[in-house]
Amino acid sequence: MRAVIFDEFGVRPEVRDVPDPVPPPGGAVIRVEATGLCRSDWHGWQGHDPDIRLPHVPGHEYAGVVTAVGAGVPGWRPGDRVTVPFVCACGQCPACLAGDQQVCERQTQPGFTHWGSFAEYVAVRNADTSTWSGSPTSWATRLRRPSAAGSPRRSGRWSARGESPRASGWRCTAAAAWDCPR
Amino acid sequence: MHGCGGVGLSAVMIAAACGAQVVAVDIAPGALELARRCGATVCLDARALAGPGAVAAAVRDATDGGAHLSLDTLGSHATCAASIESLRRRGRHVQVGLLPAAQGRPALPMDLVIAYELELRGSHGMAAHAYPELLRLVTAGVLRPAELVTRTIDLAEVPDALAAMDGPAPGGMCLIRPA
Repeated sequence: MRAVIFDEFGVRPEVRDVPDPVPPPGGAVIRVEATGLCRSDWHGWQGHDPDIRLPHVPGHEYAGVVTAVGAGVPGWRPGDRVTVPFVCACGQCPACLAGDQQVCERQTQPGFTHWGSFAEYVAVRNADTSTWSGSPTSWATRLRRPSAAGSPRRSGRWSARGESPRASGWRCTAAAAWDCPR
Repeated sequence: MHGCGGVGLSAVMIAAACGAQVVAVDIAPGALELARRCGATVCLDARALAGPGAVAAAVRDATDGGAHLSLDTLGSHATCAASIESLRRRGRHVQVGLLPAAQGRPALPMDLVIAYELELRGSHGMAAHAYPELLRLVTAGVLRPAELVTRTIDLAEVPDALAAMDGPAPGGMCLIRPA
């Protein structure tokens, strides 16, 4: 695939062919339809993020279409239109169980902890708990568990609404692609 | 809103849609014009103000004593300090723009934090399960993020665009279409 890649921090990136990503267990590969340029990408390129290993492909704001899923991903299949928060969450740590996946204790971040979305394809970890709309069953179960403080937090919304996660996912992620002219 | 790039403009649009009276601060006229279109009622050009203290004073003047909520969506020592000093008593600052330790940690006005009982929060993003509520506002037309996209480029144009991110911004968001 074509990707924007840099070999040294602060040295101009290149566009070149790199191996296509393969879905990790529990993860997915997404064909990137749109990805945003953010100053966080600039920080990463400048070497301000200790998680980044070289060479590196930046990019962490994106929407696209699932092209492959790894083992253990019941919530997604190729063809699903998705978007992903920049934090991919484990779904099992105390922060995730409290509904705060954006501060997951075992998070991964495409574009920082591994290669990101300035490419034709991007791999995401923990697709069921990170990719909107994830696996409604596992989320509903996990998010309804009481937090450490003993108070229920944020029940799983899809099952509560009785809405099809797949249908709502398509509609909303289409919007997340920023409704831009193709 | 201290900084009206992609995150700042999005936050202006959301805050205005929620009924907030928004004061936008930036150094780029194009960014401030976009902020005004997103619903900011006061737009301040920080270039015309002598440093973070003056910016904060201008925000306090525009908000009858200080903002209830202020965000630094750029991430710089100056905008962070200006945001905190913009607040009224018991106000809340949210740090969204990155402040990497590699660039040195900012000196914060903790005297004000104590005296005014200010609240400081970080923002590290939004969990996937919170997306439906936000995206419902997009599909309903309440939020119009497409209006923030002022440039669409392909992968070949990314290296130059990335390198330019530390300079003056043209305003609006840059969207990359890899295919």
